[in-house]
Amino acid sequence: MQTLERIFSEYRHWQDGHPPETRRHAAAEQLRELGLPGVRDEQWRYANLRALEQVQDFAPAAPAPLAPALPEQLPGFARLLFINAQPAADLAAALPTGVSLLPASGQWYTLLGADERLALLPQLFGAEATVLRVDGSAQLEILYVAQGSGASYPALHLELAAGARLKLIERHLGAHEPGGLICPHVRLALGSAAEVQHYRIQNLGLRSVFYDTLSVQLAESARYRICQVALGAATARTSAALRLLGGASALDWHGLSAARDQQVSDCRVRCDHVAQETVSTALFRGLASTRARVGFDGDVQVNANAHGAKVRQSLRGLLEDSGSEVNLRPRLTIHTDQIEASHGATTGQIDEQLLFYLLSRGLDPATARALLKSAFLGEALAAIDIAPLRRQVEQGLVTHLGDLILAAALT
Amino acid sequence: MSGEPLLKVENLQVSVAGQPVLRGVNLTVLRGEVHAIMGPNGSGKSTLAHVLAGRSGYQVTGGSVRYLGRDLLALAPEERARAGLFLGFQYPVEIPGVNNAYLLKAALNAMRRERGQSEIDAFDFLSLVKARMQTMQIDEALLSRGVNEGFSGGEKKRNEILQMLVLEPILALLDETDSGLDIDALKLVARGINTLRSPERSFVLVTHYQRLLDHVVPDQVHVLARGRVLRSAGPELAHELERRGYDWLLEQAAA
Repeated sequence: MQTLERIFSEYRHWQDGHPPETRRHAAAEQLRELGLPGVRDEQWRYANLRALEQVQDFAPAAPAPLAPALPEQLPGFARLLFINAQPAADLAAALPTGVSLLPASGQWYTLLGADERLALLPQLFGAEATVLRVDGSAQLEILYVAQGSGASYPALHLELAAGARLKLIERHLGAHEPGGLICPHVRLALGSAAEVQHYRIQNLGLRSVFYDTLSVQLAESARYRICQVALGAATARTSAALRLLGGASALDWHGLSAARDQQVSDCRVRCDHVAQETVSTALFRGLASTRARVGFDGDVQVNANAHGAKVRQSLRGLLEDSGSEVNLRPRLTIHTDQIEASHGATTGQIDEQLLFYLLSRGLDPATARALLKSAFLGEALAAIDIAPLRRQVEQGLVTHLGDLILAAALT
Repeated sequence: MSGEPLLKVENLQVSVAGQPVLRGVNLTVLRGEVHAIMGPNGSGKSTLAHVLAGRSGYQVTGGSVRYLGRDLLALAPEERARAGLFLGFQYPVEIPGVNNAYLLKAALNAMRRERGQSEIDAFDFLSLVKARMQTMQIDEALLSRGVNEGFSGGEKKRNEILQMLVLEPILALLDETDSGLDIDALKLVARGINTLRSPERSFVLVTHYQRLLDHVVPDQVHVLARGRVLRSAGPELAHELERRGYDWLLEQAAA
């Protein structure tokens, strides 16, 4: 049976026990119309779509008791915990000042592009999105823990009022059954002059399948800064669609993917410069070892009205062996001539000149390599300006890759 | 200890990508001596320095190199460094993300471990480095920057000498450390070398110009051309080269 038909079959079977909801039917219709992404879709070229065929169960996992140890809570951050996409406690009680829980709207999210089509799965199978509104200034940590078997569909919608400030840590953790699907959809709408610093850490077990959709809209003078770190999952794919709708709005994307042992980690970032004086920067560092594959597709579209836009991309890949792959695609489509743009993409193994320099100072080859790898990754990690979070992420990297020197001694 | 042979290069032959570059180089450096190697572009000066430091990409096709009585060519680059051999690079690389202080300390501790000493205390390390930075007139802020990251050409060269001052090698090979320096920076580099000059320590200065040798007076000057040492003499040879160039030597060699 084709994967799409299997999804509908499982949906029909699963739906029998649930009240009918308009949004699910709308999502089903749209999914049928768009279909699943295929290997010939340019936007999905480096994703591992075979993993979608191998998903064990599309129906949502049952709520589970909390098993794994959670990361230490960060000072100043309120924590919301979801297990298999279900809140583990009363959300409203856990929210910090400045953040309120809005009632579920019952409405469906109309996709703005085919990139987001896997976000239809959370609409089809998942509970309604958690809708939070931020007024003023807040710090929030959201943990999504996946456990047992079955799929998990975290859905979060954040609305930021004009001038609101949010530091948001979003983590995806858990040891899943092989082929267990985690399919989040996170949406943010930033009001004028709102600012978000978003730290997304994906550190799932190495048997999980992670297809993630991130949709962000920015109003005038809004600023969105994100640092996304992808370490876990057998297959990880992020489809991000960011729209700079308001004049002088700005996106700053820092991404790091470190994959080993045949992991496939792929990220597509589509950024639309719609208004004037908008700015987007993208820095990506991808490391692949032991037959792993890392991909990054930075697709920037500058509309005809986006005069004075500025675009910068710096994409780099590091290969640890000849059997691994890093595929980088900087893409820039410009419909106006009044912009500043620069981009660079390079992939290669550790630079022999740098290595020799360190050896000539007496460092042993293993230390020198670890130092250069750490420096490479450190360029992306520099965006994590919360010291205890950075330490946690560095520790996650050391556990994942083994031979790093991510001490505070590095710049 | 002065007068003891430190480095002995005999009939060294080296190829790069199958092309001979060094065609039988002989060089003996005693402890405490300063040797200058001069020569026209493409004569093999930098190749000699890099081969001695252990850089890959060169095929040694003949000859031998003894350093402190050991077969230098059998040692890995890091073993050579820990045995007291220092290469000052003509084009020091930038390593963003690895800060200067970290590298200096890691390098110093690698040397200390080799000598059976414990790792240097953080306070002692900072005192040592700051004193050396003062000698080289390097801004302390550069200590927390990435290695050579965003440094000017002169700062990079001074940073090489700073590393040398901290690591206190037994044999320093300085590959065109004077190139691209203005006169003030040149004097600073010379000051760094002279600070370290001692009966126990030797220097091989690879240079194009005689001007560095006005400030660091060598014991011997060698002219390397076409892969061979064509002439060796005292410091007066550098002045003669400054006046006459290299052609007369090349003509003599051809004859």
